[in-house]
This record gives sequence, C-alpha cells and structure tokens, in this order.
Amino acid sequence: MALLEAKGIHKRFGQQVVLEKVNITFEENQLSGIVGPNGAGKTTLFNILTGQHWPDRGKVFFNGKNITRFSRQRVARMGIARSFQIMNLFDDFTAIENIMVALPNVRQRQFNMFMNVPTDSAIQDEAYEVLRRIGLDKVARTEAKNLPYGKRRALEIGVALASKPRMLFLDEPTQGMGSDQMSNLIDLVLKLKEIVTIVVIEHDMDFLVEIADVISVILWGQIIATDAPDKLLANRGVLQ
Amino acid sequence: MTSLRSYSNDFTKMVFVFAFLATVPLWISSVGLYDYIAIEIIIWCIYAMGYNLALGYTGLPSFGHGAFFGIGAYAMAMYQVHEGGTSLWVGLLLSILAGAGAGGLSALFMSHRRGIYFALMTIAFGQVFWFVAIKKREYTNGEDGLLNLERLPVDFGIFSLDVSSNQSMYFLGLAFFMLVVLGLWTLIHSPFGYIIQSLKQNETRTWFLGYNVHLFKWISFTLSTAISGLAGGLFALTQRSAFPDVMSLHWSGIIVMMTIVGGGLVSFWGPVLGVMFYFIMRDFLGTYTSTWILWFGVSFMAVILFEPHGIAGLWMKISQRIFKMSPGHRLLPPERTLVPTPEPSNELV
Ligand SMILES: Nc1ncnc2c1ncn2[C@@H]1O[C@H](COP(=O)(O)OP(=O)(O)OP(=O)(O)O)[C@@H](O)[C@H]1O
Ligand SMILES: [Mg+2]
Repeated sequence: MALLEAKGIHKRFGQQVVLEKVNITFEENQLSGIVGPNGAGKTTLFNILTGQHWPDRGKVFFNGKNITRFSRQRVARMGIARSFQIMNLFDDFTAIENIMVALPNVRQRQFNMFMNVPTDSAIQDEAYEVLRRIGLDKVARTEAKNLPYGKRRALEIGVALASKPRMLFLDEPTQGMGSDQMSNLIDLVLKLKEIVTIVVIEHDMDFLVEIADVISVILWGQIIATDAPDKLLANRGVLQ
Repeated sequence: MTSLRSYSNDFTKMVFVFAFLATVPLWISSVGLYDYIAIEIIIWCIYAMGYNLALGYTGLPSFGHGAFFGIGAYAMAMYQVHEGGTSLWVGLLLSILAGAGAGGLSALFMSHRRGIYFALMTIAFGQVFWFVAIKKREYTNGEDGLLNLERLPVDFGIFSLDVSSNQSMYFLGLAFFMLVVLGLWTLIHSPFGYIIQSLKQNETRTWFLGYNVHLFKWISFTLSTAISGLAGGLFALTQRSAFPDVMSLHWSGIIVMMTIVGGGLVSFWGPVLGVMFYFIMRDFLGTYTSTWILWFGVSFMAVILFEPHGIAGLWMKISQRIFKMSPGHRLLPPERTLVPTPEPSNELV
C-alpha cells in the first residue's frame, strides 16, 4: 500500500484551474520527484497534501486514512513535514532553537510549564543529533538570520526533519544554490532517504535524476508522466 | 556543565534585581523622591512584564491593555464598595479573574487576526470597556470613581500584615512582582514560551509544526490580561480608589511606550527598565518642567528611530562591545563542539 495517495484532486483559484484530476501515489521509503515548469501547480499540490489548502474535489489518504480536510497542524501531527520554496525559518531563533520547537518531545509537552527547554539535556541531545545530520552542529548557536544562504536552506530541511516525520515534502530545495552546495544537498538528501519517505519538487531535472526513485512530470495542472528517472530520460524528447 | 552555568548566571541577575528592588524604600527619600512612587513603579512593572508577554514574546500589538488594568482595579473596588469585601486574597483573585475574563473574551475575537487588524481590535475593545466604565455609573460611579477603599491586610490565617503604610504596601507589590517574574520566567523557558516566540516570527511555519497558533495567541493574551488585572487590583489598593482614566487610549499607549523604550522586544527585563525610565523622568524632570511628557515622547521617537531595541538593546550592544558578553537575552543550550561527531559533518556552506 502506498504511504500517501491523492485521488482525483481538483483545485481552482477563482477562474483559474490549477490542478485537474491529479492522481498520484507515494510509496513508503521511496524518494519521489515532481518536475514541471513555472506555474504548473507543483507547490499547490504540496499545499493540498499538507493541509494548507483543501481541494475542491478529490481525496487524500495517508497511511490508509482519509486526511482530505484536515487542518495544517493536524496533518503535521500525523507525521507529514515540509520545507518551503520561500524560506520560512524562525529568523530570530538560533539554529538549535529552530530545531527544538519542532521536536515531537517538545510538541507533546507543549503545555508542560515546568519543562525548561534550553537546559533539558534530552532535548539538547535530540536537537544536536538533527543538526549533525544536516551539518549545522557547529553553528548551533548562530541566529538563523545570520546564517549563509546554503546553511539556511539546510536548516529549512532540518526543521522539517526535526519533527521526526514519516513523510517529508521538500519544495525546490536547490533554489538559489551553486553547484557545490547542490552536490552537498544531494549527499544530504540521499542520507535522509534512508530514514524517511521523501517527495521533492524540482525545476532541475538533473538534480532529481541523481536522487529520485521515481519522477512525476506535471504540466498545466496535470500529471502527464510517472516513471523511473532513466526511462523518463529516454523519453525526454516526448516530454519537451 | 555549561548549561547550568548560563542558567545560574541569569538567575544571579534575577536575584540581583530582586535584591536591588528590596532596598528601594531605604534610600528613595534621600534622592528626593516620594516613597509612593516606588509602589507605582513596582505595580507598573508587574503590569509591563505581563504586557510584554503579549507584545514582546508573542508579537501581539495591544493598544487597549489599559482596559484590563482598569477592570482589575474596579474588581477590587467593587468587591469592597458593593460587596463589603474584606479579604485581600478574594479581592485580588477577583481582579485577576476580571482581567482574564475580559481579556479572554476579547481574545476570542482577535486571536485569528494579525498585525494592524489585531491592533485595531484591541483599540476597539479597550474603548468599549472604557466607555462602559464611564457610563455604568451605578457600578463604577463614572468619572468620579470609587473612593475610600481599604488597603486590606495581608492575612495569613495565623498572623496578618498591615499594609496601610506606603513602605509595607511596597513590599506587598514587590512580593507579587517576584511571583509574576518567576512565573513568566518559567513560562517563557517552557515549550509554551518557545511556541509563542515561534508564532511571533512565523505563524505559517508554526502551524506546520503541528501547533494551534490561534489557541496559543489566545492563552498568551489572556494570561497577559490576567496579570494586568492583578496589577490593577494592587493599584486600586495603593491609591485607595479606582477611576476610569487608566483605561483610556492615552494610558494604554503609555504602557506600550514604556515597554518599547525599555527594550521589551528583545529583553526579559526591558519592561522594568522602561517603567523606571518613565517614572524617574516624570518625577525628576517633572519638578523642573511640565513638558516632561514631551521629552518622554521625544525619547520614544528616538528609540523608534535609532535604537528600536530600547534601553536594554543599547545595554546589550555596549556590554557586547566592552565586556565581550554574548548576546544572551535568553538562555541558549550550551555549545557542543567537543562532542565527537559519529560521522563527518556534511557541510552545506
Ligand atoms: N493562493 C493562491 N491564490 C491564487 N492563485 C494561486 C495561489 N497559489 C497558486 N496560485 C496560482 O496557481 C498556479 C500554480 O502555482 P504553483 O505555485 O502551484 O506553481 P509551481 O508549479 O509551484 O510553480 P513554481 O515552479 O514557479 O514554483 C499559478 O498560476 C499561481 O499563480
Ligand atoms: Mg512552487
């Protein structure tokens, strides 16, 4: 059974139809990619799968459960985390504080007055563990707004990862990155792939080909192809 | 451990502040100030610390907090005047509940709003409560106020303390100030404190972490108005009366200015600095010139223009430059550079 399944998703904003009859499934422990040109509806699809928007028609199932009209925070609590295309960090928090608020152990005790977050050593252990994974443990105490671009991008992923999700949605993680940063990001995503089911939106087909098990192509709000990267590449002409 | 040290550092600061405040009655008259002003300062410190939970920590710009302060004062006054109440504890409890009740009710309509809309709603609610206080003469005695309140004794059952002197009233205020500070300190370092600071910076992200942003805004605002109510109750005791003027837009603006001038946006102690600055300006400058409020306004503008982080922000800058202190306006987990990493860090420079 697929971990997440969307059936017959329609979405329009005013007169503009943005998604039309979208069917897509994501298998557990796979890394799925979504490519498509500007304005194809990729981010909108993420927004629907993560509870930011509700579809006009269609259903979303997570782990067999219908989550179609769940709120954002409910979807998040079920184990779906995301990063954002436009950077979305807590800028005045340090890197480690960004991670700490996202930890399930903090969330589960959100009304516990007597837990002291910054001095709680179990919380520190967990937060440093996440920071180490994304290579930011050395800048743990730097405020997010003072981190260089690539590190901010990594932290963006780290915050999503910190919630220990079953499923991780990354919206154009390579945006604005140079090729060095990109190859580091590839390493990171390949590592994460071992522990969580991932869906990545990308413009850049080359990046996806290196990391994805399966890629879906979205155009004008419709999925026009889904296949393994090498097969898709073979049909590249068709797609263009 | 580093964490314990940085924690105790901040604790030392708190003990120092408390100790300093405890000495105020000893020297206040020798610097030419009335001892009454010390009580005003301590009560406004309570009020401002509570206000800053909403403004500084949750990013809720409230321009109507005076209403909740005033409601707290009226709760104490009506308890004494209409009910003949004589228990300090019941009176203050009513002040807190009245502040929280009015605040919680208003927040039901506001917690899903942001920015300017939120601010406008706080003004609207503030004005409504102020208007009611003036018009409902049978309860509040309108602009003439409720007079002749008693400074109720602090009754501990086996013994009770009299607070009719200004000095003892000050210590009662200080005791509540210490309780409020300890409570807020605990709160802002608990998950709740991190979540409200998160939503202040980025509501969308906070939703996506699985938190109910509206609920947290509601709780934070309501707690803040509960503290305003407490301060109002103490204020009514202090001046032995309750008037509607503290509920006006003017007085609601003063608490905003105090908090920002002091540096509440970046510092736990900022509101205390702002309150002291205001009252000291009023009493020192006020003896020389009646335009001191103009100078306070000018200093507010200077802060907005040149140092938006207020007196505390200025102090942080100076202490960083001179004493090489870390920008520690809140506790941070310790560095862990010595912990061996299990695998090489994958640097995303
Ligand atoms: N909240 C919204 N309200 C109105 N229109 C929207 C909204 N969100 C997206 N759209 C429109 O839907 C279309 C698809 O947008 P979407 O952001 O999903 O594209 P995308 O595939 O992510 O593009 P990009 O590669 O530029 O990120 C665009 O035309 C956009 O203007
Ligand atoms: Mg997009």
